[in-house]
Amino acid sequence: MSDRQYTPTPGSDLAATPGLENRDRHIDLLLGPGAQVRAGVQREEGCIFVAGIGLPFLRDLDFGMNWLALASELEWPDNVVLEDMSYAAHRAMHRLQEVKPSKLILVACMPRGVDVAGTIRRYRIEDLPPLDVVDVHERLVEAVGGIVDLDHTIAVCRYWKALPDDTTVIEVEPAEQNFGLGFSPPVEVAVGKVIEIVRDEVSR
Amino acid sequence: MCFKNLPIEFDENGKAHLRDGVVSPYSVTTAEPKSFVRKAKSVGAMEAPPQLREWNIDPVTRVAGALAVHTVLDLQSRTAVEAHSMAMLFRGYEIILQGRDPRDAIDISSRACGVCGGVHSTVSSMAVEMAFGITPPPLGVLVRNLGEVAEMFYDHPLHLGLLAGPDYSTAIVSVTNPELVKLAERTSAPHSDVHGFKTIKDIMDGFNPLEGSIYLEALEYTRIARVMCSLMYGKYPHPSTLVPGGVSTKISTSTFNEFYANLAKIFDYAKRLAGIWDDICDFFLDANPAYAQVGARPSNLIQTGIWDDPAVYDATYKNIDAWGQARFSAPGIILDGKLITTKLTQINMGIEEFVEHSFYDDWTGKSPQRFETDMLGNPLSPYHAWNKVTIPRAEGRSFKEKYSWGTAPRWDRIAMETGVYGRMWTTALAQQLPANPYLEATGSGLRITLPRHELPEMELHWKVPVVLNAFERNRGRAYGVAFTAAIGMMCLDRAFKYWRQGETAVSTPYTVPKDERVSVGVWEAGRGYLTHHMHMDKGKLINYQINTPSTWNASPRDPFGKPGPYEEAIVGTPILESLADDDIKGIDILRAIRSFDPCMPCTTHMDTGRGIITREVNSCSCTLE
Repeated sequence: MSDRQYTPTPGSDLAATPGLENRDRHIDLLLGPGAQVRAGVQREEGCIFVAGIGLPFLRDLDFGMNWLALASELEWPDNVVLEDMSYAAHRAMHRLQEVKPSKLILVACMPRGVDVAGTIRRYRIEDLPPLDVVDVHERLVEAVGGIVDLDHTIAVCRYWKALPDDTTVIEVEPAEQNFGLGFSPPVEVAVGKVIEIVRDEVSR
Repeated sequence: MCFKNLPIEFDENGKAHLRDGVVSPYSVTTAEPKSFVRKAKSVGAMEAPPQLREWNIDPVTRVAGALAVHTVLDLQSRTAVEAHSMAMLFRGYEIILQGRDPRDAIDISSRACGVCGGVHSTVSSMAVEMAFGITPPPLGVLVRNLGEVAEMFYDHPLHLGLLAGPDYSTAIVSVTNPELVKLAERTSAPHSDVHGFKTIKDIMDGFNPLEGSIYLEALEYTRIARVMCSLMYGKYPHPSTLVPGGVSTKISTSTFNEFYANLAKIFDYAKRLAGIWDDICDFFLDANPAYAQVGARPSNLIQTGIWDDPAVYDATYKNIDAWGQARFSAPGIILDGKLITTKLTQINMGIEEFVEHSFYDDWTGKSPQRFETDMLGNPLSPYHAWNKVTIPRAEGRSFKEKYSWGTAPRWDRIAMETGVYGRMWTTALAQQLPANPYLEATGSGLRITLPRHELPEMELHWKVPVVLNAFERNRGRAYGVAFTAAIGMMCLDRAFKYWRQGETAVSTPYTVPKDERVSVGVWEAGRGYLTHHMHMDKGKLINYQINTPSTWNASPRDPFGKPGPYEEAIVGTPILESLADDDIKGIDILRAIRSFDPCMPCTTHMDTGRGIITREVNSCSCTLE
């Protein structure tokens, strides 16, 4: 069909994807000259499990995944496993049941609407209100329908006791939630701070 | 004659052409949608008669994504008399993909669905490999097959146990039909020796959400399926190992051995599932034969086929009929229960996608038609996927105008359904399976032999249903686990054979062509039909169109006023609850809808601009409500 004519759709010739420059900048910023890149596979059971949860291509909501990708390039203690857990709650539950970490740190961007964009919240799982069974059921139903959501993951994993006692959530208030790549300026600033907070959690 | 509505004929060599003398072969004469309520008004009443009541379900829960259904119930006859199926979200993967490297489509389109976490990657890689002109090595084809086998073991149990199953649970039936629960207590389960539940009430208890044993077992089996997927894909969901020309996973004999160890567990689970769903379906249908009308619609089905024979699949459009017919699950068109064709070219040339009642602009007449024929000279409609342009426009919000983000795909201008039972149907009637010890197509059903594991070897027999209704969809899906397990064994046998022969390559090298290419990825998701139609030039995508099972099933009315499959299935569904009119829960309508296993993220494959967002729900990546 090479001789056929076609009408290009207006706007189809997309320019370089915005946001990638930011990502490169993050890597440079975080790694810096001479930073040591980790290698090898860690022992999983009993590890400190750092899981990022993000929503691909949705700017700040993709924080968990992109933060994790950047953090994975850094040096961490041998007992720390960093892993993308940007999938549905029951799948995350199965993964945690396999890994059986001694400590879990969940990292994500979550729009709560109570703090200014870029605000970092750190809370422990025992500080959350008691589970409501109907709420768990509804969250599980959404999860099996493909919806990825930090609160769904926490609720379902709590219900089936897949979370270790030592579980901390670190979440950032997003600014940009539309389709695209790269973080908004306030969330970009939070990248390095979350690294420091996770390092603090790991050292406890 | 394959086509009755489109003016496509075939010469003595089987070559398709448009009928001579037809000036506008694909012209569309719009018709006002049929409306029971409007008919009632037309006899003079100022308002709908009092026995009619509007019934809106928004959102329909226990389905994937945002589906809303509007129905009208006739309380005198206790029957649903009108229905509108509404996909409530827009995603726009077609727009996202424009101008990108075709290989990006594999990763990005994968996010179209969070339930089927690998199938869009697979079909996308197939579309790309056809465009690139490369053929995957046999073991690459088989690894892809096995990955998709495993994905079905995620999809089907999840629906049967967690989404549809609760509709038949003690928790729900005791509210809607307490008399049935009492009857179930007194009714022995015919297959108790296989699944272990003594009475039907025990099965209903098993379906109870969060605590029932069937519910919990299904949740556990989704884990086993995920392990199996990860063996073949490296990671699941959204694997990064599916590439044009095969897979990039590292495969060894131990990979296949581990896969088999998990598949053996599925053998027993499949045996139990078939018994459980035979018993629950037969119980309801025996208790009240009117249940046969719940979700009933004409047996018109479209399937694209899945699981390639590596000896035949070459990823060329030229040979698409040959490799399609060699698939272990046959492609095909079923009209009124009869098999019309198994040729993918005929399936492809009969496809049109209409937007008369969808939140999009019609693209025809606004730009020149890109392709009048496919690469083999078969005629194509201006409404065909290769000619389609996605132009979102959320205007005209009424049932007479536009009411869904889903489009209305039609084959030969007929509303077609698709599903796991559809592919079993085409496979059964086509009788094109290669000789194998696990699966036999009898012409009226499938004989499935599942090897011994903890349970002894068992032969299951799925029969093509007389009436396609909610119960037969679920029963078919349960047998679909056994059907898939049998195909898993067929693929494993072949994989070991190729390995022993030293043919261990799973991918093939390629370069990205810079000239214009047109291709299609044809495959099936858990819910059935799946195509990715692709058009590229200068190394970039010009057009990329995704058509999914639930686009077909959830379709709104077409320009001719004909309803989509969900709508057809709801109209005529009896309200069999033993509750007073004011307390109706709508369980029978919900059973009808859920039996299709709706997946709305796939359906509407985003841009809400800065519109009003009442609540944000994110599915995989890009779902905004």
